[in-house]
Amino acid sequence: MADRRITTGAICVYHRFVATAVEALAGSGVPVAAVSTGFPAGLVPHDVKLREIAASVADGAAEIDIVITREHVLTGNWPALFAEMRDFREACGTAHVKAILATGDIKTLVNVQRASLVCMMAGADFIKTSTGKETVNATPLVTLAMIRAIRAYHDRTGILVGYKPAGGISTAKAVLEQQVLMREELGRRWLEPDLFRVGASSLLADIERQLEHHVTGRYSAFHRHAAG
Amino acid sequence: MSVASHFDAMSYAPAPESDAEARAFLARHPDGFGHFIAGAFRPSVDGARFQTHEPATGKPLATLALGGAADVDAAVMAARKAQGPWAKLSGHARARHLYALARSVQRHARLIAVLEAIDNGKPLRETRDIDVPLAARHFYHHAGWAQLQDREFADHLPVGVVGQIIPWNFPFLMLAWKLAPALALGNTVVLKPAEQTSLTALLFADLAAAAGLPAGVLNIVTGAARPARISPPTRMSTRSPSPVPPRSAAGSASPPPGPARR
Repeated sequence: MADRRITTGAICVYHRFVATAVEALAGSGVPVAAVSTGFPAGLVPHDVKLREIAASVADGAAEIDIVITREHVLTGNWPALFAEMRDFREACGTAHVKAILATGDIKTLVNVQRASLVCMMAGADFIKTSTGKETVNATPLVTLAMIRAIRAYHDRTGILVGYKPAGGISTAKAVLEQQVLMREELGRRWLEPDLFRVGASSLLADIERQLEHHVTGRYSAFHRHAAG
Repeated sequence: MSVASHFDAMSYAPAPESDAEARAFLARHPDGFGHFIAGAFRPSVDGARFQTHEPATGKPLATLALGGAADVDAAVMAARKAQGPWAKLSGHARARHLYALARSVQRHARLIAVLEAIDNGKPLRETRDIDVPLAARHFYHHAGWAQLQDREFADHLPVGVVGQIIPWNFPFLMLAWKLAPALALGNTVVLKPAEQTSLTALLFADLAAAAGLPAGVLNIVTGAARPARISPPTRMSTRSPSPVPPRSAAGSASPPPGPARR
């Protein structure tokens, strides 16, 4: 397995740390992603959001995670959501863009599916559940709603959009739940890192603990692992 | 298979809730099941049989013996014969038998849970997380009764042979609820599971025999829609109410408990 070079998909940071992260990861093959557009609340002026994206891209971010304006979903203003997503897509240039729907804020699964479709139509490469700062983040129900939207969009257009659950996924078992849903609803292709990412931090510690348990039969304490 | 090939395929490992073990158990009885009397399975005296079906598919699941009066009599006689020696055992000795039954239930918990789910139709989440663990706890609990009987039930005697009819909604759990207290304190049992859901009782009979329960202490008569009077030698009958009046108990059907039918 050594030649497979299993690594994390990307390192995701605020704009201020993009340059530092790019320097630290130089030569590793791990891209830097930037959270953007007034993350996590997304309540800054639209032009400021576009300048933030441009700045992160200029600093070397290969991926941009934008947050949508929840108000557009809650008021049913789909054209406005489409328009802002289109602008974000354009500002990213060649960087890949993930649309964070903040599912915990937009509440209903109907809203989640509509927001998913609108963002995909506007060019999102990935749709992502949450900022990780909401009270409710990635749940299996929300995953099901979003990946069915991805499947519906793929059936209509042939376009492959990726999915990223984020927030509240701190155990290997929780990831397995998500992986099973991906496999069941979208198929094996959507288990690859260009179409499936998990937003997590302390998860790495749990994965290490599970690997250690598999090898030694014992669980180690969390403080023995660097992350988390 | 290497780690790398698993990584590429990302296929599922065998599921613990796979029904393969339960299906294999059924396949080991291609000619169906008999009554469990005096520690062994035997067909009905008149050879009568009936089919039990799987609610999920409507397909036949197994052939069971259709009990009649002669089968009930044989079971009662076996229970009577075993009752004296069973009651003469010390409380501690019966406690050990009940403890062995509890351990056997735990050891075979998954098989019992899956078989119950297939036979009754309730989801595995219910059988695995509620029915089977509670049944095991009942056997443990009543093992405690037997162990403490000299202190707690010093002035009590066992009733003798007990007839037990159980419903289809909690087939295995009701079996545990009825059987454990009766056996703990020196009674022997003739148990009639609901005709729709007899399989876990028959599996339990297998497990009980393997766990060393003396022959005749537990007897199981299966059957449906055929009057079968529990003959006088039983000292006590116990039946759980079910939504539909049972058709195989003595006497005429009585109205079910609860709101009056219109």
